[in-house]
Amino acid sequence: MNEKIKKHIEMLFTAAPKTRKALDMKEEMTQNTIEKYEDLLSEGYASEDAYQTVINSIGDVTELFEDLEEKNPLCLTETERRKKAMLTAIAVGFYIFAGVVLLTFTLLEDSFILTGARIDFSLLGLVLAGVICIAPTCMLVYAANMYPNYQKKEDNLVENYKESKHASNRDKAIRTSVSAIIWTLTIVLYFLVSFKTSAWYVTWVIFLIGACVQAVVELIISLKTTE
Amino acid sequence: MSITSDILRGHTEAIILSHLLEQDSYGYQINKDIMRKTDNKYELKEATLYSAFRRLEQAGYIRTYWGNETVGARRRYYSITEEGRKAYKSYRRDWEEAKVTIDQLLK
Repeated sequence: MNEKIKKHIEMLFTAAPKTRKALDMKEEMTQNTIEKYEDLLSEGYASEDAYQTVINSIGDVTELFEDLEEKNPLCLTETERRKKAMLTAIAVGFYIFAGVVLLTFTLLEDSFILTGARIDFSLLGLVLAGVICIAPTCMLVYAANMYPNYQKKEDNLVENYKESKHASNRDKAIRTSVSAIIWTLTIVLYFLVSFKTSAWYVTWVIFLIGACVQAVVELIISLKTTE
Repeated sequence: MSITSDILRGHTEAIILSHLLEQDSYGYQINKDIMRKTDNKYELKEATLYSAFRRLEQAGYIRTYWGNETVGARRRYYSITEEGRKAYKSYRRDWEEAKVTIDQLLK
């Protein structure tokens, strides 16, 4: 009979969201119901009557399930998503600007050496580009942490939940593999170019470019998911 | 009869808190206690009880932990927090006031 009670509660919970809280509540309910059932038996109830009594005393569980929805902090609202896209776009802009600054100063140095100026423009450009890079990096880290890339939804219906779960997993997998490819290519390119030109002092820019490409790809993917 | 069950349902949280003032407890025990104190006339539906637990937990009035029963399934116990005690006291005051008011109005 205990199995029958468990089965009944199992059935009641099929409509519940699949969250930790729901599982806990199911366990709690099962334990309390069985304890009550056993108490009724010891009071002299016939097992079928006791079963009916405990099942009836459970009441309407649908109101419970609403509370069991875990408010998901990972779920992005439309405005948050826009904000994230905006942050990423601005960050990419900054990176490009930093690259331009660096390039300009490197070129400046060449022309000034000809005229005999002694200012180290190359170093100045490097420092400036580095400083410019601080802001977009902060922005990207912020965007990544405050609003995670992937979306996870838990809906009332089990099917909805599964579906969105599946979609978000696929989305996440795509992002992960794309960024793996980008960074592998970046490292390969870095060593290739560096050994070829021996210009180690400037080839690290390739990593910045890698970051740019990564950000752009992220942006494209998140825009696509928005659609 | 039906007035009483409605009022009971409306005060589920306070009844739970009042029970937990004495000792830590779990769902069925609280319901048994209600039945004992009302001469088996009233008991709460489990669904009502559990949604009250969740609300109290969210408000920070009770805490929950799993017991380590050696036989049978483990029980989920609840204990009252300091905020819970405060909430109970103020609820108690409100209720005394309400009782007086309703008595005055129903005379």
